[in-house]
Amino acid sequence: MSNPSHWPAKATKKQQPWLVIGLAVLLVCVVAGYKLYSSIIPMSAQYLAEKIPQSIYQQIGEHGLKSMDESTFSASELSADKKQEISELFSSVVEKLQLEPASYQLEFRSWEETANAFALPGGTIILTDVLVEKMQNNEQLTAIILHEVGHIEQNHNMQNMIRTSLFYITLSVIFGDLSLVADLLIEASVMGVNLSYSRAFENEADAFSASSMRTLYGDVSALKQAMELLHEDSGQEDSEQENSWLSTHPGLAERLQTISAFD
Amino acid sequence: MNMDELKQEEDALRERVTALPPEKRKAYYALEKKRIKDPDNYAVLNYFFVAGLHHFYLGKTLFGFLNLLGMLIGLLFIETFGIFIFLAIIVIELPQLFRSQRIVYQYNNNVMRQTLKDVESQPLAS
Repeated sequence: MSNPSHWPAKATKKQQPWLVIGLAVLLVCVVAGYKLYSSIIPMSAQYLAEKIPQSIYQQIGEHGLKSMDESTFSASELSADKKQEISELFSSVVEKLQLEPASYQLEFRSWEETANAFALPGGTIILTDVLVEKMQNNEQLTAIILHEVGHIEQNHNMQNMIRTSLFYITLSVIFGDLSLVADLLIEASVMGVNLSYSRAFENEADAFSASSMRTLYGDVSALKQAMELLHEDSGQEDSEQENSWLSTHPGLAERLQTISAFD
Repeated sequence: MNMDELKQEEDALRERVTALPPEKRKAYYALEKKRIKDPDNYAVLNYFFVAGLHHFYLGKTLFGFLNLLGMLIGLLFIETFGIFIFLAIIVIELPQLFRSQRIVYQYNNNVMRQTLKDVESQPLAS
């Protein structure tokens, strides 16, 4: 008796296409994921952020400041004269750069030993006391303020919220409500993407500050000095740590390189 | 061919299978089982978001590759003209979703014919 397995099998192999189908799906998923991350979500977020009314920005900013006042900040201990001096400096910068003065509010807060500055949706910029004390001159302080103005001008807070939401929604649609593992994968992916977007926004804000510093003072050295002072204060001496993909900000070397493009 | 004509063609092929000697008939069915395609699989692969998979499923590698290439170019240039490539692929390929039963029926009849030819050309083992 003949064994059926000895009969011609050439066509059988040719017609088993699942490997090709699997590879095609993988290839398209990789390309689609890349485009989603690098182009589709940022473009959609920018479009949506522009459509949100200014009153919503104001409300988010006010709630954000209130929440941080209750949990993180305490009242600033800077002297009234110092606050007045910085406020006047800020007003002159806004005027010279022909920005809309009503779009910005400058606030001072104390946050333990933390030297930091924040921009909230709605145009509020917060400077901590330690940051103000750490800066050696007004140019350095201006550079930091302009970095925060860059975040506001380029709508980074709202775009970041929308980007993260869109990415979360996209992954939720793909994975569905399947399991704890899928949830963890989604959370981890969202966190990674969020941090990556955050570093990109920091670079954009640095570029805005550098460009504005060049307009105001003719060079960007004060911005570089401010970055170096903040870097020393952060205690991040380990270059691997500072370039980690888990960082919200780019490493000092990358930031100085971005700024140097405006030299 | 419409469905009635395809059914008649299948019936004629089945008669030829029935007329095979038992061991060749057994070999035929073993091969046919491996080669024939499921119209539901074809339809699912057609409306799955990756273009061209239904062509790969039926072994039409060139068409599958062209669809896939179109989709990748469309994705890479989605900010500009990519969306028009997607629309073109949908307009060209979507009608096949509604003809999937007939397309796969036709394909399976061709597979039966080829399988019969393969089996008939093999000598009987002593």
